[in-house]
This record gives sequence, structure tokens and C-alpha cells, in this order.
Amino acid sequence: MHRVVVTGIGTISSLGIGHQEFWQNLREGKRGIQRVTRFDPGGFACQVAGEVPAFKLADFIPKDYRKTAKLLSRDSELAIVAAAEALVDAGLAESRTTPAGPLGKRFGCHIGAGLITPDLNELSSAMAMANVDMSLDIRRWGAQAMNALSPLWMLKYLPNMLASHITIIHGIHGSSNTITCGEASGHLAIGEAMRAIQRGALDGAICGGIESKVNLMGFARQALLGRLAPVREVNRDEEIPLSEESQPGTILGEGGGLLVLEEMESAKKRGARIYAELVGFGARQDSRGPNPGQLSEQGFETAIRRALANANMLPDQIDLIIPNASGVLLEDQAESKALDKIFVAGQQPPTTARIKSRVGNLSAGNSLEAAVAALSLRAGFPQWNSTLQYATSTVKPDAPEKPPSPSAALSISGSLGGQYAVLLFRR
Amino acid sequence: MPHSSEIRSSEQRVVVTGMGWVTPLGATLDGAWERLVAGHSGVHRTENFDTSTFPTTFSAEVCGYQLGDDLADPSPYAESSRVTQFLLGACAQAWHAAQLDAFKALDLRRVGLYLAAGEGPLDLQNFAGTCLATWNESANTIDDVKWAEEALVRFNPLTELAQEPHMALNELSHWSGAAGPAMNCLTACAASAQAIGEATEMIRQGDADVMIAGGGNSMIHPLGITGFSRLTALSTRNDSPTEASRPFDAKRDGFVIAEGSGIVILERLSHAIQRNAPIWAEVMGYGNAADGYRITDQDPESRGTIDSIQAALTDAHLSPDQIDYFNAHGTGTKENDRQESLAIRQVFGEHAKTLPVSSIKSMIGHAMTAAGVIEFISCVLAIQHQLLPPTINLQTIDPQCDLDHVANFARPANIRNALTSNAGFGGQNVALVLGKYA
Repeated sequence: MHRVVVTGIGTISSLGIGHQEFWQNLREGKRGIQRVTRFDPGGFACQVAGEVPAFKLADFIPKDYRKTAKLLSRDSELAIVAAAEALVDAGLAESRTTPAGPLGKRFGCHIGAGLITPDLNELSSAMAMANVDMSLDIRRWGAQAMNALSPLWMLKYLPNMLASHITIIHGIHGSSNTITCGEASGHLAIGEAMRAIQRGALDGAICGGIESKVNLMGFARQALLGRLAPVREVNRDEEIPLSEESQPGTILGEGGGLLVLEEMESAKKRGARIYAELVGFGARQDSRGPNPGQLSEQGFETAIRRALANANMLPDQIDLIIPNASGVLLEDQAESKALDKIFVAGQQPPTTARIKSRVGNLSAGNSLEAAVAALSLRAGFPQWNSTLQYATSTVKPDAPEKPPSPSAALSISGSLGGQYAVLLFRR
Repeated sequence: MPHSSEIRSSEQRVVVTGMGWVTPLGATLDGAWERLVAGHSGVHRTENFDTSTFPTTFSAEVCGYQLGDDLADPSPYAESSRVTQFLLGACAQAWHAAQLDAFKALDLRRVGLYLAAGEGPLDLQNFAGTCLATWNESANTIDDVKWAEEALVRFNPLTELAQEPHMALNELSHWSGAAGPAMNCLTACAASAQAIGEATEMIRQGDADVMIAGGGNSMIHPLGITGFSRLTALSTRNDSPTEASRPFDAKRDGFVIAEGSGIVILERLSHAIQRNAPIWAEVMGYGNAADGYRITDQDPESRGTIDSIQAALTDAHLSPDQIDYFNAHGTGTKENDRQESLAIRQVFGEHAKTLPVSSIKSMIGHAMTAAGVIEFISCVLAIQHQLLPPTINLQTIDPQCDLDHVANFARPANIRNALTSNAGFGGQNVALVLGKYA
């Protein structure tokens, strides 16, 4: 079985594009959450989100791919940018506008993505032509109105388009997959790519998740489930206190994190910079239900234990945890109980660092947190400590003997559909 | 060539111990198979919604299926999407066929799931009603604030959640108790074949002992049909729907959309032997390759298809001439069938002259993410019955597709190993090799 290392990282979020900018902002305790600008959020109780700062797509795609730009959903755009970042970071692409490779048959693309809602203005403009008494007249739609949509309309919104564009731009001809498991998608995609490299099916892969729920449908669906924190404004200059104020709910964000994984020996041979070794992947389907949307202690616990077992490691070897910590009270409580069980009993609990409170809940893009775990092994502990909301344990204070960076870090994800996925990185 | 047992130990070999499906030709294994080998078409005028003014007025729908046909108590799943209900039914069939309820020592933590569940149908009337009520004609935009207010009143939270593709995993886990690792993939028309392949690898690599694998789809609704119609991918042979799906035929004009589901129970051979499980076939090989070409077209050299087939053969430790039946993706579009035939000739060389190649989409239509598993199941049944399902509606073979397509009538054959190939929008290519268990 081959060993798997991380040789490139590409992140995109409200704290910037590229992990250097991202990490700097994290260290400075910055938050990317602000009032939504991509649409008018006035109809929702939650009116803030983590939006990616404006960027020029032309800075991130090859010149001859620019004409494809109008066929890109927001999710696809963000994915292309993150992929460019990751591949440049890995030394596989010369610049953000120069494609890598072609990376060939031994390089894969395993992406986590969400459901992509069609642009509502585009769709409504067409539906308006079949409006009879404020409802969609199917006959008029079929006869006439639907032709207002461009021929390639549907192709914009298929979840596997993110991977499709990445494989086209960078000449990737190995395995390609798109995982759609909500907030666990990105982690699951990384785990699957890891397994493919372990068994020798691939020498490398770009993997992880990207999503944008910062749109009307994304907000509406989360709001209907009662998951969004009723926050209208955010004071960006406000210091986040150590024990964070109770904030019942999650705040959405857009973006994600893509990793370049490689088989260790071939990575070393080409002189790649190695961030970390990916040593553990644990996943579990919760068999609770069908009361959906209730993350369980058991789900988190099992996935964490499976990742540890996969890495042949013990809980006390973990220095840093990036918890799921969505901000939804019941979800966080369930996770805390699992963490207490595994990490607290008779041991010095590891540091935890919540990322969603900085950039938002990126759904499939929460693999950004896996990127944080991988980065931390070289870059150091994220500067601040924060308690896991309602954790029954206390987080250890900065002990003088604490090493400058963790030797092993864990990233946890859990989705409403009951998928849990945990990744374990080691130096 | 070495026997499978010489290549992999019983710890590493993966077999099929149960199967089930819900299809336009019926929702029992035997019932739908009988109709397939009789050359029946499941295509007819669409009944799910009014297609009278659409470019295509027909499809292959699942008719009259009730979850209660397969589940003793379907009530916990009343709110589930149509796709999820199809999957629950197929799962129950497969689980029972695999005799897993009788196996008391089953460790559910070692039973995982890998599905290709498509999203549940949009709640169209509420969605459209909300958009139309808040559409500002002069500004040519939605009024965002009004839209939100309207949506929060009109939309049903559970209906919205049920549309998420990963909710099917939740329901199947609830029904079966499976608590192993789980994934849902959406690689378009290759998805459920991919689910089977990846599930096989999960067992081989020790992440599970049993996997519930397959997929389901239901896109026979206004926006789904709209999308494919705008792409001009659908046949428009409205005057004779049963003749519309004509893979490899010179007069083919597009695919016929279908809905349905399929589930197979994949199991580590040692585990299956230990519990005396029925063994239907062995999964020998899996190949997956990206075209990386264009979002709108397949690679004209069919490189991705060729690579995925060759990778599956290599994984199976078989040479091309050891394949006795090739179940084609065969959608009935001009491009797919031509490109696929090219790939088959490239890979199989001389053997392509006598290799039977058929497409059951000619009868059952194209069930999108569910196509792969439905075709895989038909290969298992072909091996079991030693009978090749036909490609119907084949009147004039397109010279660019000239192969033995098992034209119009099923044919007995000595089938030891079969290969099924699927390709999806976005450049996805998956191939699976399966064989008689020995």
C-alpha cells in the first residue's frame, strides 16, 4: 500500500484566494462574514454570509478557456480558481493562467459539490413568458417559453461540471468523481482520492470540495430547516472573545479547499514540497432517521475512531482538531460529546480551532478545514484558541511547552444526510 | 490466464449476493428481465406531466409502482422523494435476495452504502409560483426580499430537504441499519456504474465487508426534460415512441429519458461463503477515466472510453477476447453510438467482429444516473440465464457502428465474462467487468 502526501493546497473563501492570504487573515483573527451583497438578504432573518471577495476570473483561467466563462456556475468558477491555486502551489502549473500538465492518466480529480440552483433571474425571465395567473403554464412553457433558455443551460448546473472543467483545463485523464453528500462532500472526496493513491490506481489527484450556497435558494433551504443564525449585521472590527457568544445557528459561506495529493515516493522524486502525510480517513453513515437533519454523537464518534484506527494512531497523539462546529446548537452538542469521550478522558485535550466562525459554513467546501489541518503542520497552530460551543471540556491554555506546530491534526465533517467524514494529517 | 482465485484471495474478491430494481419494464428482477429478453419497450407517451407542447412527448416512466410492494411498512418514507422511494424498493429487493435478514451475525458497522442518487424533483409549482409572484418585469429581475418572504411561506422544509441527493443514503441506512462508510456520487450517466466500482474498491481495501451499491433517478419532469431538449439530446419521434430508442441504427435521433433505480449487494467473498450467501456473479474489474476534452462533446478519439475499458480489463486480469458480452452505453444519440463503436473496435480488435454488443436502452430507455446499475444487473441476469438481451429497433445498422448488436431478438450464448460501459456528460467514463462465479 502506497503512502499519500499533500503537495499543494488551494483555498478560496471570504478570507481570500490562496492559502497564504487565508492563513495570514486567520492569524490576525479576521472574520470574512459580512452583510450579503450577492443578493438582497432582507427577506431572511440571517442577512450575513462569507462571500468571496471580488476577483477577475481571467486571472485564473487559461486565455483559450475564457470563452467558456459564461457557461460557468458560481460553484464552477470558484472551483476553477481553487484548482489553479492548488496546482500552482504544488508546482504542477507554472502560473494561474497556465494549465498544469497535461497531468495524464495517472492523475485523478475527485470533487465534492452541492446541488447547484439555476440562476433565478435567467430562469424566471423564461418562466414569465408562461405565466398564467401567477403559476407556470406547462403548455406555454413547452411550446415557447423554454426556448428562452440557452441550449447549454442545463450543463451549467450539473454538479459534476466542477470536476469536468478542472479535468479539461489541466488535461486530467485518470479517475474523475463528484461526491454530493452535503457538508461531508469535500472530506469524502479527499478520502476517496487517498484510497485510489494507496492502492496504486493513481499517482496523484486534485481533490476536495467547493460550493456556494450564497444565493436565494441556498439561503431559503437552510432557513426553512431552522439552521441559520439570525444575524443581521456583523461588526468586523469586533474582537471575537475567547468563549464565543452563543450564536444559535450556522452562517453560510462560499468557497472551499482543494488539495493536491500524491504518492509519497513519486512526490519526493520530483522534489515536491510536502505539507503533510494524509494518514487517516474515517467515514460513517448514521443509521438514525428518518428524522433528517439531526447530527448524532455516535456518527461523529465512529468516524473519528475510524480515522484514528486507519492511521494506527491514538487520541493522545492528536494535537489539533478542526471540529465541524457548524454553530447549530444540537449539532455542536453532539460533536462535543463525541470529542469529550475520545479526547478528554484522562488526557490533555488537544487544541481546537473553529473555522466556520471565520469564513462561514461552506457546505461541500468545508474541505477548506481539511486544508487548515494540513497547513497547520508546517505553519503552526492557528493563533487563537476557541472553545467548542457547549463543550463540556475546557481547552488547554497555551502551555509553555507546547510545540510551535502540531504533529498531527484532525478535520471533522458531518452532513444532514447522516454522512460523517474525518481526515487525519501527520507531519 | 489465471483463475480469479489465483489473482485475488477470497478476502479480496467481491461478489454480487443480491439485486433489485424498479424500472419502466417492471419492478421485479424476473418480470423486467422477461420483458427485456422478449424485446418489449417500456417507452410510451409521458404521463407524469403534460408534454403535449414539448418537442418530445414520450419517455420511459415507472408505472404504478408503490413502495408498499417492496416494504412491509412504507409509512416512515412517505415524505421521501420519488428517487429515494425507488431506491428503497430496490434496496429491499436486493437485501431480501441476499438473505441478509436471516443473517443474525451481520455487523452493520461493516455494511456501507455507495449510491448515485439523483436530486429529487423540484417542487415546481411552489418554486415557479414564488418566482412568478416576485418577478419584476420592468427591472428584469426577481425582487430578492419578496422572493425570500414568499419562499419561506410556500416551500415545505421536508420537501426541500428530500430533494438533496444525499438524503437517499439516510433513508436506506434507516431501513437496513447500515452504518458503514457511505457516499453519493453524481457523475451523470456514468454514476451508478461508478458507485458499483468504487464500492468494490471499498470492500477490497477493507473499509467494508458488504456494500449496498447502485443508483436511482427521476428527471421526467418539466425542467429535466427542458434541459435535455434544449441540448437536442432527446429523440423527437413522437409518432412512434416504442421505436424511438434505436441505438446503433442509422435513423437514431437521440435518447429516450427513463426513470428508475437499481441496487446490488456487493460482498467480500469470504464473508459470503461464511454465511452461505447466494452468489450471483463476481465483480472482476473496474476502470474510470476522464475525457478531459470539452463539456459539450466527447473526445473524438474516444480516449476516455478506451482507457476506462482497458483499465477494467487489466483490473480483471482478462484479455479483450475473453469478454463474451459487451453491454453498451448505447444511448441512441448520433455521437455516443459512433464514438462507442470506435472505442470497441480499438480495444477488441479482431474480437470485435464477433463480440455481441447490445444496448438495453433500446427497451428501457436512459435512466441517467441509474443506467449503470440497471445495465450491470442485466449483465448478471444474462450470465445467469446464458441469454443475450437484444438491441431492438435495429433496422439499418449505421455503418460507423457496424458490430454484432444482437439485433432485435435475444440470443442464447455461452457467457462467462461480461463488460458494461457507461459515459456521462462532463467526460465521465466507467467500465465494469463481471463474470460467472467459480
